Amino acid sequence: MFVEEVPKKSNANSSTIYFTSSINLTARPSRINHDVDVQPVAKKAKINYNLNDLMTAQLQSNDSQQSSGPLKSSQQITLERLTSKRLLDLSKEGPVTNFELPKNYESKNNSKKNKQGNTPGTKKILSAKRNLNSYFEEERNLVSINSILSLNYQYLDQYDYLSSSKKNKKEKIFRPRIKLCCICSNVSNYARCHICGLFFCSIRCNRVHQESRCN
Amino acid sequence: MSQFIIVDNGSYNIKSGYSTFEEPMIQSNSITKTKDGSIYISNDYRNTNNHSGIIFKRPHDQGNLVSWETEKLVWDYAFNEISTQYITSSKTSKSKSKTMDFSSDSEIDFKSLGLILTETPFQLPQLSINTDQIVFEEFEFQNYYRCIPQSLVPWTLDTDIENDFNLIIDCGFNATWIIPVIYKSVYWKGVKKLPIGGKLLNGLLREFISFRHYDINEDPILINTIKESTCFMAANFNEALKTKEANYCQFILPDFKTTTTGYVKKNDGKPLQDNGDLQSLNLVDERFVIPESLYHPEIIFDNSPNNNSIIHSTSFKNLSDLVIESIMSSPEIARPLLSQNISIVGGTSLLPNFSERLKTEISKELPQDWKIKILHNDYRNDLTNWYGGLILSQSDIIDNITISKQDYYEHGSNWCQKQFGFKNI
Repeated sequence: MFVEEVPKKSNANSSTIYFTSSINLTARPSRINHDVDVQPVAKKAKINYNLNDLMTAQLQSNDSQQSSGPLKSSQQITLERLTSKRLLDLSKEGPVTNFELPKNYESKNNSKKNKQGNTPGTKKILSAKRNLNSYFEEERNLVSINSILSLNYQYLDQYDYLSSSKKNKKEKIFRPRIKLCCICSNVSNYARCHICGLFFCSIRCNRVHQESRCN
Repeated sequence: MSQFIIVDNGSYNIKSGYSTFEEPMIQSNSITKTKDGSIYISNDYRNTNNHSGIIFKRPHDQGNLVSWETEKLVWDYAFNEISTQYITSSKTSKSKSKTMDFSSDSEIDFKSLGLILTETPFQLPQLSINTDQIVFEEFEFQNYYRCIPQSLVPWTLDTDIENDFNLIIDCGFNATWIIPVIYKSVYWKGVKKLPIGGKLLNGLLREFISFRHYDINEDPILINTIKESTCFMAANFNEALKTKEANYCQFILPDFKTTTTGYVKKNDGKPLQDNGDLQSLNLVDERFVIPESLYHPEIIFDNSPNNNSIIHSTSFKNLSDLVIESIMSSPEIARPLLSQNISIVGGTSLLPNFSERLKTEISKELPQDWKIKILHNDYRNDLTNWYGGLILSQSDIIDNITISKQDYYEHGSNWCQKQFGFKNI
């Protein structure tokens, strides 16, 4: 290790310097432990040599301090979890959504060339069998991961309790919710099951509802 | 000019074809397993009769191309199909004087071909890098251009003025994307996503019908057929709900003697000529309530089993809200231009009355003096992206934006992602 990254927050004035030489420190590794003044080199994490990535990381951290405002409230997180669970449930195409392919399964069309992967890289990709979440986990530290993830929740009106000034309230569009009876899909103007909160439109539907759906 | 293969890699159907093709070939982007345990790749399952209990394995997960071990098989199938088509068509059109690039056993040589590939907006960079690696190292294409499908749409429009500012609304299988394209490049800040698409509508329809009529949990294909043949966008939802009896229709379920797919009974007054075997679904409000969830997402959440007060007090943004947001986040001077150049693409937008409804909803929200125009397209909504790629492959620009195999091997896949990936916002 000849070059190391200057810790971002250590020195505000020297924010334009990304790297510093540490040749002198690493040249005498055995004595470092005895020397109190020298920083513990061994603890240094991986070094990112990509100047571009560093710059975007820095820009991003500046941005987030200024604009993104308060963190998500716990209510917001619950909401996102509930809605995405519902969406996932509906997106399933049947009770079983996945199955294992038999080993070395190949189509009849290309029997001649069935080796999995020409290069080590593609071999790895073609036998990965990973799901989306594991990729998300892996990319947790990615600069743009928040903008990718938040796309999924753009349709939820964000709770903004901390900065709910009058101005915000004015901008908010109000649209009446459509309330449909859970049995017959008529408009349900006023009634809602006191146990589970689903809508119903008439006493008859409520009776059906309590016999079937209410739990 | 080099020959291209254009692949619009949707999460439901792959639209693929050579750049000499008149129209794309459509392959289902899936591997299926039927009830008796046999496995079919892509379209092959259509040759079987009984689709009940079929299981779909799709390479896409929530729009992201995740599973290459599946996708590779489907691509092999698709490329085989289009190459067979290519060889037969060139045999008939051209005389024997021109020697074929291919040997006769339909061996495909990608080394002289280019590829135009689409992928979902904001794909995880790691997944895009995987794709690039497969394209160059596994299929060994010579030239390669990767983009989001919606950015190809402006190429299908004729006049020069219309080409500069476009708002693309892509209502597909996985989600609905709203994408402003300015001077043919995507304006990433304005990109909006509504996670409601054909797949979700299918799920909702399944829930409705399974509760009210028969349990059709195990028939994804039947559900899709019912949706495609009966559902529509209501012009005015509240009116339609009041007079819902007018939209009564009867869907005949497959009995595997007269029909294997099921069909809508024609409303000609004749009684069914059945001998007691035919089962039917009586559909009334399902037909328009389900597509309505694009404009009232609370339909999806309100009547779900795990109901929660948090959801009840949330307001949702619907399709038109997001369109307005997308327009308003664009540069001010471009806003009225965007509202005049709306293009609608994607399979779910084939629902009857889709574009008319969208127009009325948007016009409620935008300033009164702005014109709202939905551009007419010569192509079917779900194929427009492919035709865009076709036209792009025939223009001169394509030589400047593709990446060649030599470039890839020199700079690597990270560099490739920098060229094609979304710009961070």
